[in-house]
Amino acid sequence: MKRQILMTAVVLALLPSLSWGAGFALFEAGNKALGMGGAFTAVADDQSAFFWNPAGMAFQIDVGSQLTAGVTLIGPYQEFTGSDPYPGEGYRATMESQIFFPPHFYWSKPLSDRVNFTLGFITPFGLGTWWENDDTYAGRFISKRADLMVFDLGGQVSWKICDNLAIGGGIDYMIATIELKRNQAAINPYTQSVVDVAEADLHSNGFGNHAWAWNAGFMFKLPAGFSIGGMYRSNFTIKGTDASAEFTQYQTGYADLDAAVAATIPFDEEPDIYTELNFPDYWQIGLAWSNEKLTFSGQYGVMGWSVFEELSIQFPDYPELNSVVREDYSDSKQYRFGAEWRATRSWAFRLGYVFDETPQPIESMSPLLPDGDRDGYSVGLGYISKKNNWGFDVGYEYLVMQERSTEGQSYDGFDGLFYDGGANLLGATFFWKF
Amino acid sequence: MKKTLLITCVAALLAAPAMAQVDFTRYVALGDSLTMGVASASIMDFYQQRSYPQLLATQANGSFLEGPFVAPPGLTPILELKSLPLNIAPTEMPPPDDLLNDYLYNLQNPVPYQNLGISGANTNDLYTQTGNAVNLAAGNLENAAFDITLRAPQQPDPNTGLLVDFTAMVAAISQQPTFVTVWIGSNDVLPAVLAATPIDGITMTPLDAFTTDYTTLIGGLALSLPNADIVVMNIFSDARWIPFTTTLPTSADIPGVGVVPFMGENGPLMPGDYITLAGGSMLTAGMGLPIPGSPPLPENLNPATGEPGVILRADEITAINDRLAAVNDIIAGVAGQFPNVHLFDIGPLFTDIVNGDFQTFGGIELSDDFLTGGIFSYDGFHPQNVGQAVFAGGLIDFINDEFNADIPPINMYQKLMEGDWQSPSPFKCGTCDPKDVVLTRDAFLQLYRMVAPDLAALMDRQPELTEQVAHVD
Repeated sequence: MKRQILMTAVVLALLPSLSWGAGFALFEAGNKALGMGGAFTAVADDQSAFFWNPAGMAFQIDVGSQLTAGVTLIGPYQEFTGSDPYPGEGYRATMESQIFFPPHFYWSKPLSDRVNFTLGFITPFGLGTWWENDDTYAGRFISKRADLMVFDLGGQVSWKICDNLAIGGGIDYMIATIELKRNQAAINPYTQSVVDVAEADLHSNGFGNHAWAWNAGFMFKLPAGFSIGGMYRSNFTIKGTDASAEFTQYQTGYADLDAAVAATIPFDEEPDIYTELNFPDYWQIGLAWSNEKLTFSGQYGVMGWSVFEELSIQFPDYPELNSVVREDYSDSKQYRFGAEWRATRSWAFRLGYVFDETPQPIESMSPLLPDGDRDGYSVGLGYISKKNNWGFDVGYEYLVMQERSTEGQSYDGFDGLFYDGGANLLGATFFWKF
Repeated sequence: MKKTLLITCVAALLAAPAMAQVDFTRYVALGDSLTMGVASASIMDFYQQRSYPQLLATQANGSFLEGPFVAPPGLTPILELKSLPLNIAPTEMPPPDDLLNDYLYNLQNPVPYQNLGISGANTNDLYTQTGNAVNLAAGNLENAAFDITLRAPQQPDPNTGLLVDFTAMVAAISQQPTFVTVWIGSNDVLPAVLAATPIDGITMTPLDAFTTDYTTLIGGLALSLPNADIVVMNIFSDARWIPFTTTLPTSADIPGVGVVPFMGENGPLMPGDYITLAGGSMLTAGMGLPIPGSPPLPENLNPATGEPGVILRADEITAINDRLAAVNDIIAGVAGQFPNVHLFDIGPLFTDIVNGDFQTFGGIELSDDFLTGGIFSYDGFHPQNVGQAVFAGGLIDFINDEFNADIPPINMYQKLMEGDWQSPSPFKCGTCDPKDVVLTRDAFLQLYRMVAPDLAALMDRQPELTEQVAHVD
């Protein structure tokens, strides 16, 4: 039975799950950028510069203070067909339809004619998976439902060194909330087959799991409408000191087996869990060209997912359950391209494309996070008032995850083909300038 | 034209690696109880039809291997878990009344069986022992495994027409198989574990005899079947790989005294010593405690009576493991002498299971733990259906690698969820009197008779002594 509880810890170690950027990153910091495929590091001309390039805020000083609020609705989907030995050839599972809505808020104020200060709130990492018929589907011993959100509350300062060069940087206070539900498997000694004996609910408590990170960027305005931008967001480690496990017993129909299970799993308490989640750094460098009507941008970047090699999970009160899980992620590349056509003084139309390489090896793919390379196709619409003091941006992205097989190499022994995966992202951002 | 022909040949060569290179048209499996599909100290069709040879045949080409199937409650009645704490005893389900049509219902199958695993067989037995179904009809079950498997002591040689002893080896060769598996040798060593006593020539086959036996058997098959691929498997290389050895505690927590080791006839249990499952009923009867009035646990086999010991001392474990290693060396050496014989080393598979490194299936972890590990049956010695599937999976992986074949893996989800022979409606004995024992003496003796029939026979000839020992239940 202890081995089963250990498996709970193993699963906790795999907390990251289906997300909307490769790995479990989110890039939905603003819907203008979304409409341009996130090719925004060399553009960064709205408050989502907080995420895409803090130096960009220095070139917005002349519009005064700004306030932005927005949200992006994300609807992921995923299909799975199994292979032998587990869960077997022809087995199929479907992810439940869910809508997630990571918000973003910014407030900025010029401190001088060259220095700007910005406060921001975004969700740079997140995931959510929930499989249909979660009490009976074959992956229930790995994950029934998982949710992870990392919130970034940050402050930045941007400095326009000269008319065509600016730098910026800031600090980020990262807060993580996590929850994972899965069933506990045991071999029923009476039937010698697998039986569900409990549900494990592993979750953070409040907002006590946090970390500090930092970011920096530069932007250089070149002649003839060109600009170059670069940004860096540091890696960080969330030390999960404020998390616990809750176990709910399932009756098996064998009273003495149930009694034996009850004597082994701490149903009457919530044992503490300690874990460490390493999040990657992220850098992007981009080139953009603009004239009065058009903007074209492209960028290349890397997320340093190789920090996610393994995960240490500890039960302070049950040290025999401690474990270390291999993840073996690799750094992953991104290519982003975007365009904007300012059709009128108030209305703009946008297009974008992103290729987001998965950092996950096939061995780590599981119902928790069946990741794959992603292609995202986006469109956007922008409006700004004639007085130039308020406006909104709407963005939509159709994100397609390339189908991917575990090729019989799954660490969890859950092999098959994850296909028809992706997400629809639709968001709106409102801003005011004053 | 030449160019076309050349391209065709090259294409054929390139395509070859993707095609199965092993012929399962006629597959025969030779072995002992592990091959026969014995589980929980019983021969029962549910487990026979889930034995690794059957799983391999199903995966390879969907064929069904005929065997000496026995209907529930099995031969002899299968062990079942009566209650927890562990109380394992033979089922009280009565056998069917009609021996031939309902109980041993495949006995009259006109063709030799393809599964020639015979419970209790050692290497020598496979080429010397015969069987006779007439014994069964007469109610004589002393040699039941051979009698139900081989059925007729002699058969005419298809080439000469002369009657020859119909041994398992002869039965296999007579079918002119294209593929053969042989897993034999366990019963040349492991009776030492069941009796908790390694004695050369009594509980273990002497090495020179084993060399002769194994060479005769494998050489005979290899030379008689030059066109067949023969896969031989070596045996467990550690007596501690089975829960029969490792399950029971070696110390007791006595109120007011603390944790103290159990006592054997030669003194207290020391680190590295084990009490076998055969000692479970003795412990619950109060034996082995370091207090006055508690008799010590029997250490060793009594060669005169056949009464087994229940303590494996560290030096005995070493002796048994040394012998297992030597036997495996012989198996490897013999296999290497014949080009059509291929050795599947089971060591890495079982090492992974024992060390907890074996793959999980969708988060379900299997282990060698007794009752809850999922691999072993209630006798702590033989695998249950999931264990057979795990072994078959390892064998399939080996065959695919060795022969560049593409036999698909087994659906373990189905195996893990299937349940045992009683699922989904367990047999309710109604009159059971649950006892707080680990493995009843009857249950152990059933296993003992299957794996070490010669030693058990000694006990059967000493009814008075057996009666004396049985009172500890």
